[in-house]
Amino acid sequence: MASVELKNVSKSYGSLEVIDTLNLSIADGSFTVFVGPSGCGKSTLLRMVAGLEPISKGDVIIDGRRVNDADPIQRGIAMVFQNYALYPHMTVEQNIGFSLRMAKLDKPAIAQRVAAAAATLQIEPLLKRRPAQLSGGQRQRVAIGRAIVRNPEVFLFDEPLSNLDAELRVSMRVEIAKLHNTLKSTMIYVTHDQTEAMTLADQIVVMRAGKIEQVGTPDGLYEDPQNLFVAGFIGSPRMNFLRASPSNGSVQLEAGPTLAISGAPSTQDMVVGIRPEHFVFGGDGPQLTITADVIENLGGTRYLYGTTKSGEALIVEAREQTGITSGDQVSVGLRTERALFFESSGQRLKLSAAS
Amino acid sequence: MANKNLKAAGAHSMAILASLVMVIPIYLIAVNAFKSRAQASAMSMELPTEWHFENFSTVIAQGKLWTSFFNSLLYATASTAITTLVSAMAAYVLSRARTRGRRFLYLFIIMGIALPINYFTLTSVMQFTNLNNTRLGIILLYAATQIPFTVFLIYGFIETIPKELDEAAIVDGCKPLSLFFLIILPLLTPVLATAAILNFLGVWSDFIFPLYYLNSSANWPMTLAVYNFFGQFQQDWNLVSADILLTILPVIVVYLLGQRFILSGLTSGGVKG
Amino acid sequence: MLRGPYPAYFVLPALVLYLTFFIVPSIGGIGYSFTDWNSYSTEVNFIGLDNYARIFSPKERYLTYLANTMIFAVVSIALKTVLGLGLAVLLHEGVKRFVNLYRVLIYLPVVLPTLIVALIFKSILNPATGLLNSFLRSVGLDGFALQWLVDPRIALFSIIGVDTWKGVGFITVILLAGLQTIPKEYYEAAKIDGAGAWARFRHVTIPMLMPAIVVVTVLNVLHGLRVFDIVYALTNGGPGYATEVIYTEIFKAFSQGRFGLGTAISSVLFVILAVAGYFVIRLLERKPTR
Repeated sequence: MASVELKNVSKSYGSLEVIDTLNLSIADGSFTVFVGPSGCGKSTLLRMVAGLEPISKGDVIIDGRRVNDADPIQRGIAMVFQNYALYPHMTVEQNIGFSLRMAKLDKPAIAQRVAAAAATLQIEPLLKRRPAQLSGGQRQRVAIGRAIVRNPEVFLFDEPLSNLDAELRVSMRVEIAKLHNTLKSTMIYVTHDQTEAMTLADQIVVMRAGKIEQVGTPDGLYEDPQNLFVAGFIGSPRMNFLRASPSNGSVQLEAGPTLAISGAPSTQDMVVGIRPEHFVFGGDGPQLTITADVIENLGGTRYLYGTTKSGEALIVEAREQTGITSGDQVSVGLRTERALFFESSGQRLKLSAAS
Repeated sequence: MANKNLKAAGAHSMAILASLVMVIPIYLIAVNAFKSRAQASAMSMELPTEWHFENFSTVIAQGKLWTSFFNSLLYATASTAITTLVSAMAAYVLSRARTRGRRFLYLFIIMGIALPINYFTLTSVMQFTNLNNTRLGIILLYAATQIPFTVFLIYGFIETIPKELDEAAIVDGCKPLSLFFLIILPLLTPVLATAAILNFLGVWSDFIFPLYYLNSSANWPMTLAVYNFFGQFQQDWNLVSADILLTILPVIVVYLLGQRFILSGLTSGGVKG
Repeated sequence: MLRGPYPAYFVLPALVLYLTFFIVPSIGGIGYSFTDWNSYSTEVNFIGLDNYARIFSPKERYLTYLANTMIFAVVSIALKTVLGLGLAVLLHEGVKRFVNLYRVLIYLPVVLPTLIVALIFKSILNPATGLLNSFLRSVGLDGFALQWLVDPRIALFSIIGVDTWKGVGFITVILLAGLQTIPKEYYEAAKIDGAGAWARFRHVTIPMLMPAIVVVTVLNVLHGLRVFDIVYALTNGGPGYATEVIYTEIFKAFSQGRFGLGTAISSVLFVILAVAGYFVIRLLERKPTR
């Protein structure tokens, strides 16, 4: 087990800056998830930790040791790849044991450790098969097996579940969480799926365009995003953003109601963010009138997709409201204490609604 | 419906005709190889009136066929092994790391598909390296001249092997050599088979290099030996046919066994254009 | 920096072989082409452009050899491409069964040694006893039973015929594979648009097959310009000089020790093929469009 430290790390291809002077601490034994839209640099960052991608500037420190120039094998890392990257010409057993063979372990020792890894993942019956004879989920297990057999200091996962179907993705997610509980190793996990990030992570690193937007716990990011990007990225369905402007100690939404706030915003245009689950029907808070466009019934809950009078799209969780049909005018109440305020540039304004 | 059957029958007759045109010359050699000298002089398609199996033993003895057979086998297998291995190594690093320099190097090498050989100055090179009139010299010549096409063939195939496999192997502790020999080379098997079969057949069939660079008949491959035999026994078409048959038999066997690889390899390379 | 997983030294063995036996002689040849290098004298003198002047002089025969080579290349390519395309279409659309068998048989001559093919056809094309003329006479076409390799007017075309027999399978196989990759939907769409069989061939098959046709044609140009063994074994340039091509002349220059002149001819060919090669590379390197 080991901690991972990134100090002023940069990566550029020619003049193209992919990672820009990035700093990050990953605690020993933690489960850290890099999340962000595609092209944000999260996979590149992971590969820099792995040693697959040279570092242009800065230092990568694993377990207190600067490893910029070390080969992957010297860094004590193991990696699970997006497309599994199982060697097609080897059996499952040989795939899992390959790194041990490279480390020149003797055959009985390899066999014993492969068996142990297979037992952990319950893939003993597959050991003699080749990757082509396995299902997607089974390949994923073998790929994980190949990582755990080495007892690495740090596990790296590069979008490991993105090739699985939805159902399998959920169950593998749970298994990876269990694995972390059992092994207690440091794990770094890259995904573009905020649900995976929220469910797996101790620490989420939200990235955009080669920079870290925010680092925090899942709850921290959900409750207290520092900017519009993080607020919009974390949470599903995503947070609603409504145009607004300050007026005399309160905030006037273009869509209608006024929210009373404490503190004075220094800006003219602002954005109010409110999550779909933070509306109430029939309360006494500020009321928004919306036209229902589509009602999405998920069984357990339902979402109302509507348009405000100001023409802004809005998603409202309407768990109990069964009677609404598209075209209806609906009045919904905002839970102002959950509303978040942002400058139009995206920075969070530290305002709170006056109760 | 009748019209459709008629069309299919017509198509089959044409295809059969085309196949016959391709096969008859070989059949011609095969039947005449068993005839008496007198009957073979007409080189007709009729079956032998009496079967002269001894033609073959005559040819083997007179034409020193065993020596030339082993020469051909040596040249074809050794040069094929060398070409296939060095081309795979080169194609691999050129395909994987596409810097400007390597890109140029790749184009420079496959340019050899088009370039002619200068036999005159090549003689000087052969003499300078003490390789003229040697078996090793011929093997290296064949190996060198097959490199451009082989590199081209393998380069295209390497693109189909996901780079993630390399990375997985690196993370598993592979060094460049172990990565290539334990992971990449096994995955290249289909294209290596294609390259090896084509190179083998190419070398087996060639007689130009031996013509230029082997003056000792002890080093001659089968093609040159046949040609020489033909010069001596022009009137004995039964023996010439037997000699030809023995020379092309290995070619036909390798072709029939490996035709799957030849066709798949050629078409993947050729149609890519 | 990480030590790269793809070290450049992997290229070295191939590069050394290629440079030593391929590039060094070719480049060196250009230097020697300005000399009187020959096997009778150890002295090598610079003679400027004399060799080239001889090659391109109308008084000498070299331009004829060059012309013969060009005729050989162009006619044999045209024949092979037309026949190959016909056979490919026949196998693709005409016959539904035994396609693989036909394909294996039609490709068979491609793998046979050229020298052997030449010897076999020396017998078949024998004017008196050869199979071809026997056959023609037996079906009453006595007028077509020609002096195939003996008559200077047709000898070159007889060789082209043999080369076509040997090489047509290569084009057939590649074009057949090309045909098999054309999605059926295009033909169905064309049918719905009212295109007849010819229109479908003209407007779907040919354009879709064009890349493959271009590649095989170019490869055959290279093959055609470098023709040697089939001519050497069938006629050795005769009768007279009727079938003399560049490489048979080069071999004669080699045997007779006229090295300087030979390298000059080789260098001319080198330049022609290097230019051709440039276009080949551009073709081979073009990414597939579908």
